[in-house]
Formats: sequence, structure tokens, C-alpha cells
Amino acid sequence: MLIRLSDGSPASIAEQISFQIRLAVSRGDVAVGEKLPSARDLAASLDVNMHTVLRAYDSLREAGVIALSRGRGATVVGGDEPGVRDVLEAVAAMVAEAARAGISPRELAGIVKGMETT
Amino acid sequence: MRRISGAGLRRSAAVVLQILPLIAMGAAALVFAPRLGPTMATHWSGFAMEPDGYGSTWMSFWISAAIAAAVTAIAVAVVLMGSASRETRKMASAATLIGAFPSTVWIVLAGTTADAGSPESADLGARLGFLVIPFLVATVVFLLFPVIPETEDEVLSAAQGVPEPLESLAPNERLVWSRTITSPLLVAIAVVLVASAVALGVAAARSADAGLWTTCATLTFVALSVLALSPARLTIDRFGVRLRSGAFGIPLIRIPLSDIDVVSAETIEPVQWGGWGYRFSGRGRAYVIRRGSGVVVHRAGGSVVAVTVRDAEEAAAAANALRERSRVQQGS
Repeated sequence: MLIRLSDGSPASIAEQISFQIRLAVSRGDVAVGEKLPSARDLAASLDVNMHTVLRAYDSLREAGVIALSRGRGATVVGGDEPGVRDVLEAVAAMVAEAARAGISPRELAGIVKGMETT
Repeated sequence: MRRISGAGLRRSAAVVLQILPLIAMGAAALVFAPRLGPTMATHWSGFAMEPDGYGSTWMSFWISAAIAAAVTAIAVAVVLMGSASRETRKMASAATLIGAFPSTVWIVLAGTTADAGSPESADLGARLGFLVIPFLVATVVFLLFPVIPETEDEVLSAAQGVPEPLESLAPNERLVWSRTITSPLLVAIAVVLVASAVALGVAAARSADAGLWTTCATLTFVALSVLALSPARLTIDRFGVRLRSGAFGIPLIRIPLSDIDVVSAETIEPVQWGGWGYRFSGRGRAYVIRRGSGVVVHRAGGSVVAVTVRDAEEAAAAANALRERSRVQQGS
């Protein structure tokens, strides 16, 4: 499971963490039943505040991706539905494609938002 | 990513067969227990009907069970983690044979005494024929074990060498690569070892034999050592490469970023690194729980450390990117 946090991203650090874990689960990089690193360890690795990681874990729990328990930490309980998985994959591919075309994630987010209104 | 192949099914079937003698031994002990006294006949000379050797019933049970469990655990390990080669197949069936023998012998002896009603009147007779069972089990395991010609082996065709560092790691970008490494087999072995240790502890408490306590302590130590290895977590981040035991949290491997020369993704052949487990060999230090992809860290001092892990290429690329950036930032 690879997590990369970029300053140029329009998403918050917690959003970046939770999206990338979600993508890793949907790709099978992290299997159901596997544990995620403890929030403390992940925060230390990424040099971010532990509460930021906890916020990301909390949103993953709400999305039904992980279960949080005292003592046992975060365990992956389920991936996204195949349809959602395809969207996640497509978004990741689109971000990479946009980067190659010189479109920053922030601009890309703007483009996506613009589409919503049409 | 994980698929069940024909070869996997054959290996699983072989494992089921391998542990059958142990299960049968436990079942036999339960069935025979009401008819067994503290001693049973253990030896006959020539074709004599009367036994000329006797042994403690339950002491022999626990010792046979411990030996059978230990050897069978190794045999199961070979079947599950060994390469699909003829050599491994031979090793697997030989270990199966040795592992199945103590349980079969105990079942035959206990059954003889149980059916006779007393150890003195026990008559082995045709029961000797049951000793063919370990050979049958070993033969079926031999036949079940899948052998793939080396050139077709998928694992061997895995990418080798130093992968390109991840592209465009920005100066202030934060990165972590993390993965749990679990071997269900090591966990199973640890469970069997703990169970044997508890059983031996019970046996030791009941008997005056001090040797049993020593065996119990040794088994406990081995069980904890196995548990310390799986699950583990490999983390690659701004601090470097770290492998930590999941059960006890103790660090197994810790290499600071500045100490890394380069990290490559390679196919780890357990034989070349001194076997399975946490190994020290002429090649270097290694954490090996299976045969297949792994990261090999080449340290600045020239020493080498290997860890078997899936997605080794991505892990190596992440480590190299971090190392590269820290070099640039330090201006070295």
C-alpha cells in the first residue's frame, strides 16, 4: 500500500490518505482482513498529525471500508462495490493523465466541478 | 490477485492428508482411553504372542504426539512453501513418512492393549500390517505434490533487479509504503506448538519427570519465536526500511534511509538465503516466509538484507525514490 501526500492537491491531507487507502483496498493491495498501520505509526511515517490520520480512518469506517476497534486498530472489512471501484480506478487514471497533460489536480477538480452544473 | 490454482488445490489436499494421522491419533486416544491402563505393551520379539516390553501409556502418547506434530509441521511447511520441484516433492513425502510414523505406531500399540483388556495379554498379530499406512500417506502426498518444470514457473519470471524510482517525488511530498506480511502456515505452526507446549505442561505437572518441563519450556520458546515472525509489517518511509513483528511489536529489521545504497526487487529462493524464517547466511540477513518476490536492501557498508513481500517492485521503487531525494537534499 502506497500513500503519497502532495501539497499541490486540492484535497486535504486526511482526504488524500483515505482516498489512497480506499484505492489500495479496491486494487487488492490490501486484502480484506488485513490490518492498516496504527494511526500513530502512519502519522509518524507521513510526518502529519495523528488526528489527521484518525480523521481519515474515521471516514473509511463510515464508508464501510475498515473497522476500528480499541486495541486491534484498523482492520479492512470490505472493499467498494465493483462499480465504485471502477470509478476510483478511472479517477486515479484521469489524475495521472491530467498530470501528463500539465493539468494540476486543483485545475482538474475545477473541471469536474464545472461538469456537475451542466 | 490471489487465485486458487490446480496446484494450490493439490497442495491443500496433501496437507489435509499429512495431518490426518495426528487427528486419528487424538481420536484413537479418546476412543481407547476407557480401556487403557497406565501401561501398555510396546514390544514383541520375533513371532511371540506375548509382549516382552511395556511403556507408560500417556507418556508415550504425548512424546509420540509431540514428535509427530513437530515433523508434520515441517512436512506441511515444505508442501505449502516449497518450490514445485522434484527435490521438494521427495523432501515433502519423506518428512510426511517420518511424521506419520509415531502417530500410527501409537494407535496400533494402544489399540492392541485396549482390545486385549490388559497389556500382558496384548497380541499384535495382523495389526502390524497397519504400519503400511504411513507409507501410503507419503506415497499419496508424493503423487499430489505438483511439479512444474522450472521454465514455466511463474514466480521465477517475476521482475528482477532495481526498479526505476517512483516518478516525480516532489521535494516536500510525503510518502509511505506499508504492508503486512502474514504466513498462515507460520501462524498454524505456532498454534500447534503452543498446544503441544500446553499438553506437555499438563503432562509434566502430572509426572515427576523433570525432562518434560525442559521440553515444555523449549517448545514455548520456539512457539513464541515463530509468533514473532508472523504477522509482521514492512514499512518504507522517511526513516528508512523497517520490519516489525505484529504480535510483539519488536523491530526485526531497521535500516535508516542514509544507510541504504539501493533497493532491488528480486525473486527470493529460500535455499539461497539459508531457508525459511529469520536467517543469517553468507549472503546476508533475510526474513523469508515463502519463495517468491521480495525486496533486497543493499546497504552502504556492502551488506545485504532481504525481505519476502508481495509488490516488492513498488516497495523497492518507493525506497529508491526516498533515498534519491534525501541524497539530493543533503547534497551528497
